[in-house]
Amino acid sequence: MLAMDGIDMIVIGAPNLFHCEIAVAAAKAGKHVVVEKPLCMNLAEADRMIEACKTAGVKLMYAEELCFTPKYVRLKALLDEGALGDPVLLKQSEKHDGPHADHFWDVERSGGGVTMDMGCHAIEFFRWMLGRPKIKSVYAQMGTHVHKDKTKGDDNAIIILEFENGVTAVAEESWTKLGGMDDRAEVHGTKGQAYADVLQGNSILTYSTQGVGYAVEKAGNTVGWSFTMYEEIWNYGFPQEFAHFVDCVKNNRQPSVTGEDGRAVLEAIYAAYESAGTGKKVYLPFKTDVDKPYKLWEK
Amino acid sequence: MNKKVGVGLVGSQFVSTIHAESLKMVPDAEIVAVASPTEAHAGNLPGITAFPIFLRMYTTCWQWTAST
Ligand SMILES: NC(=O)c1ccc[n+]([C@@H]2O[C@H](COP(=O)([O-])OP(=O)(O)OC[C@H]3O[C@@H](n4cnc5c(N)ncnc54)[C@H](O)[C@@H]3O)[C@@H](O)[C@H]2O)c1
Repeated sequence: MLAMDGIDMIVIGAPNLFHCEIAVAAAKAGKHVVVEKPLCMNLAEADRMIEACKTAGVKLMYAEELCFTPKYVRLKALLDEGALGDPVLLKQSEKHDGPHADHFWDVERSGGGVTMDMGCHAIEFFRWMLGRPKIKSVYAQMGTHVHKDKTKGDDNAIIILEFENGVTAVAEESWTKLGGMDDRAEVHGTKGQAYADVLQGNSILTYSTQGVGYAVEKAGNTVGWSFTMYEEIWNYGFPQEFAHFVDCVKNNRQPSVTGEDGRAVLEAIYAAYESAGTGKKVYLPFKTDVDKPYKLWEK
Repeated sequence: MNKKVGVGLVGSQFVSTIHAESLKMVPDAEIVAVASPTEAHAGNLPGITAFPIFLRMYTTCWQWTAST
């Protein structure tokens, strides 16, 4: 596939452990690269991916769709126009009842549990919302409460980030929340606050004695009350994300979310596992040669 | 670049379905190939029934051979 002239860009939707190998090969073949979250397994891989794309002169987009989620884009605009004053506290969380494929549960292939899988969304959300200041410290509390039979990874996590501009950000992540996906954010500022829920307020409040064929991602049982989502991928910003990168390729522009952003997120994820493992706040930059984040928590 | 941006997808299940569905909404893009260990999954991606080249993936990532 990489030898095909007709291909300008590759989109990597393979399990985490293959991201680096595929991205580097694609870059060497001169193809622009979109890579799903998390960027890859470790910081050495992140450096290789960024370097390979730089050397080959191809673009690398870290596919964090929350930077394109229409409700969050509007939320950021509120903060940017000053409607909320200066940011004080941000919150973001993603919760569902656990991943759909075995590679997510296997820490050797995923690198970690819910912090790796969904905490990555929150961390990039915070960075993007604040204009990407440096993260000063990370504190995390993790546990495996429901899925011990399935994974050595964390299935619930609270992650607290401190940014160099003084803003605190709190991420709550769960693989044990039943009854459909939850994705929401709060921005608390000196002059106001705003609450944005990606799935509530714009889904259809549904009651059915029959159950709903497809209501929402990871809906579970839909007999009785449920919420039915419409235009689900648009509400997450996926088409907008791809329109952006295709435009970058076509018109030689820089993607708004890059490999460097994905690397910064991964560094914070490593710091979170280190914090959960030691019970201490971890200051960045955090350097480690460990090849998978969960290992810092396990020790 | 005047032509459509040619896209190759790697993977063919959960998130790749979202990728294919999203790219259908981008007029300047065209998926021209899908690399996946499971051809049937690649064939099930939205908008990918009629055309392209499916590449079957063997044990390691980068040993592809074209199938259909
Ligand atoms: N942005 C998001 O919200 C989001 C959502 C889901 C998944 N993801 C990410 O996308 C990636 C894939 O997750 P998924 O949910 O689609 O998983 P999945 O199991 O549904 O699909 C994985 C795909 O990768 C293919 N694959 C496996 N090994 C491969 C290899 N060596 N080379 C090429 N392809 C291979 C599989 O055949 C399958 O088609 C993960 O990194 C995950 O974190 C992101």
